[in-house]
Amino acid sequence: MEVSLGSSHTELEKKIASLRVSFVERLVGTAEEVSDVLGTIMAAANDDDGQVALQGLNQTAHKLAGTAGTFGFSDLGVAARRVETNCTSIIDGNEALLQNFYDDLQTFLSEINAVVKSTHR
Amino acid sequence: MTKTLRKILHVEDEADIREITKLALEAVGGFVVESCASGQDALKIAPVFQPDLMLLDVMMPGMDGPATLKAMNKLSEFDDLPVIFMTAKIQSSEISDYDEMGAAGVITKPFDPMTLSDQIHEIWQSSVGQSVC
Repeated sequence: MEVSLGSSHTELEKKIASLRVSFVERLVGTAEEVSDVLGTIMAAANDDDGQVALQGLNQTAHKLAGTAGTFGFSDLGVAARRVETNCTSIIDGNEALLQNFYDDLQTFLSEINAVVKSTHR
Repeated sequence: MTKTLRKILHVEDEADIREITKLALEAVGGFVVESCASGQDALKIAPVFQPDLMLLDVMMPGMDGPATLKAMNKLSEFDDLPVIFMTAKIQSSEISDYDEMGAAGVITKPFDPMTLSDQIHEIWQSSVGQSVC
C-alpha cells in the first residue's frame, strides 16, 4: 500500500498541533489545581487530606510526564517526572523528600505557567 | 507463511497519548490501530481485533503493563503475541527486566510521533524478523 508521506505528514502535523492547543488549554486548569494542593501537601502531607492531595498530584504529574515531552514541552515533562517520582516515594513513607518537595512543586508550576504563556503570546 | 505487521493494539491510559499514537501509526506507518484505555479493555478487544502486535504502556492504574502482558499470554491464541512496552526514560537494567518478561522491545517516552512507526518497524524486524505492511 503506497502512502503519500508528504501529505500524510502534513496532515499529521496539523492534527498534532490541534491536540497541542487543547493540551495547553487544559494546563491552565492544571496550574490552578497544583496551586490549590500545594498548601495542603506542605501543611500536612501525613494526614488524610494531605494523602488525598498527594495521590491526586501524583496522577496529574504522571499524565504530564508522559504527554508534555511528546508535545514538545520537554522541560515541563522533566519537571513533572521529578514530581511524580518524589510524590510516589513520599506516599510510600519517605518523608525526608518533603524538604525539597516544595521546590520541585514550584518548578513544576513555573514550567506549566511558562508553557501556557509561551503559547498565548 | 510470512507474518506481516498490519494491526497494532495500543494500550495506554492517557487519552492524549492514545490519540497521538493512533494518528502517527496510521498516517505515517499505514497501520491499523485499535486503542484501549486499560489492560482489562485490551483483554476483551484482542480476541475480536486479532492484533499482530501490542504496544503496551507500562504504568497504568490497576492492571499495569506487565500484568496485562502476563494475562494476555495466558490466552492461548496470544501466548506469542509480540509486545513492545512504552515507558519513561529508563535504566538499561530495567530494559533487561522487560526482556525477561518476554517483551520484543521498549520504546521510551516522550516519543517522536514522526518516527514512532520506524521504531516499531525496527523492533518488529529484529524481533519477529518478518515483513511490515
